[in-house]
Amino acid sequence: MGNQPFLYRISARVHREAEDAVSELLSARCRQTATAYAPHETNLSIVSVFYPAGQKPANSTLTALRAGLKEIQANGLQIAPGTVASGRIRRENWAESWKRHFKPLEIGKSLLIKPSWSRQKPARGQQAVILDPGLSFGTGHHPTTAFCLEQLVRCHKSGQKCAFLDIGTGSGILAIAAAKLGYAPVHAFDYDADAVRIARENADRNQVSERIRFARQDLASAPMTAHRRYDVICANLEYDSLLRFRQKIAHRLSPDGTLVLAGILKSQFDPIQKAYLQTGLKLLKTKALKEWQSGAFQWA
Amino acid sequence: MAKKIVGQIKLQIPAGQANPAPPVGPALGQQGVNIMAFCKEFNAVTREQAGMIIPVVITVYQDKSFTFITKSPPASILLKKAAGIASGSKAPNKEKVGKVTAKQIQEIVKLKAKDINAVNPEAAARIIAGTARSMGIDVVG
Repeated sequence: MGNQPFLYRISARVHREAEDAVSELLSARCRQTATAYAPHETNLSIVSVFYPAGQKPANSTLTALRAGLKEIQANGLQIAPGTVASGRIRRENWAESWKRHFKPLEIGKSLLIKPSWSRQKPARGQQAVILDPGLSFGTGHHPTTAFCLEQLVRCHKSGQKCAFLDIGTGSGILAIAAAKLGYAPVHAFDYDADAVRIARENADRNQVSERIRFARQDLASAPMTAHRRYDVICANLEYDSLLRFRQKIAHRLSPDGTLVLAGILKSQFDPIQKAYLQTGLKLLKTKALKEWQSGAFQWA
Repeated sequence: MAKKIVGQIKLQIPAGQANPAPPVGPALGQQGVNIMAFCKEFNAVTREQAGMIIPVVITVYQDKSFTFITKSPPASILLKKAAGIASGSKAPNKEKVGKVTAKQIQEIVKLKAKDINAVNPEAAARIIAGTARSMGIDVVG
């Protein structure tokens, strides 16, 4: 039985209020550590236990668990939907199998974003950025990051030095791509110390750390104006920050520069666009993908 | 950067001992999370708490990147400790295995104040008391 290619799993779909109690119920009844997954913006929690290879739940387990859920409900906790099911999942090399979620990503003809395990080679004239998903946001697979990368490629003019600023660098993907494309200087900052640490590690891995200046900085405490102006700025931030700090962001853009704003839900794009028009910028290009909308701006 | 959360994964893992075996592997793998990166970071963060079971909440973003925070012990463990018992009842409505006082419930609410999914302390106390009763622990006083 130990060689069977699957594991048994029991899952209970319950109200999040009962998550602790149901975790205890499953752990006690099944003698396995319970895990819970709570999809965002729902009150649902899916509490699961996984049996080691070769073990399966007893026939009476589901009946006992259903009775247990009723008792939890009777004790005053919301339980709905309150369903229990068992099933088999394929036994995998879990240390490796998650990697199937990530494929190399080409941005035009100039950039190839790929995870470290990919064997895809960059085409002639194409710069490769090696980036594994992990603790910091920005693998290039998110529509907002992809738009920023497209604008980096579009705005780059070979043979010309273009200064680039990455506000809210996350994994450092945009700064690394900019350095690879030939932007100089490349400056990047994030308010999150972990993001800055990981961005530096990613830059090291891509052998561009000497061409990027990373800093931990918060827009809230940054001066209104800066000594340097940048030819391209990417600000892939949350809506509130883009709105609140629009003057600081715009003041860092050179007279002929391009400001790329991303991280905006479609429903939030109009107010962002209006706010930046009031700072003297005009919308050059916009793109909507899934629930996101991004824009490139220049001085009017 | 703009982060769109898709969900949260909750696990209880012995400090410094996260590895890709179940339950960590399938729980994270099904959401596309970099399991080895998580294990490495979790083990580094919890190295000095050896011997403790650490609840951890992993937030998964739309691009499969993640962040995590370690939490206070689960209510069930705190309740067992308060009641002085090793495990809950298999028939909680018939077979009672221990007691906790309302004051102990309040202490657990305080310990879990930052972590519990409740709108106010009264709602938190109701959840903890409900969890106690569902384990066969009577709430008295």
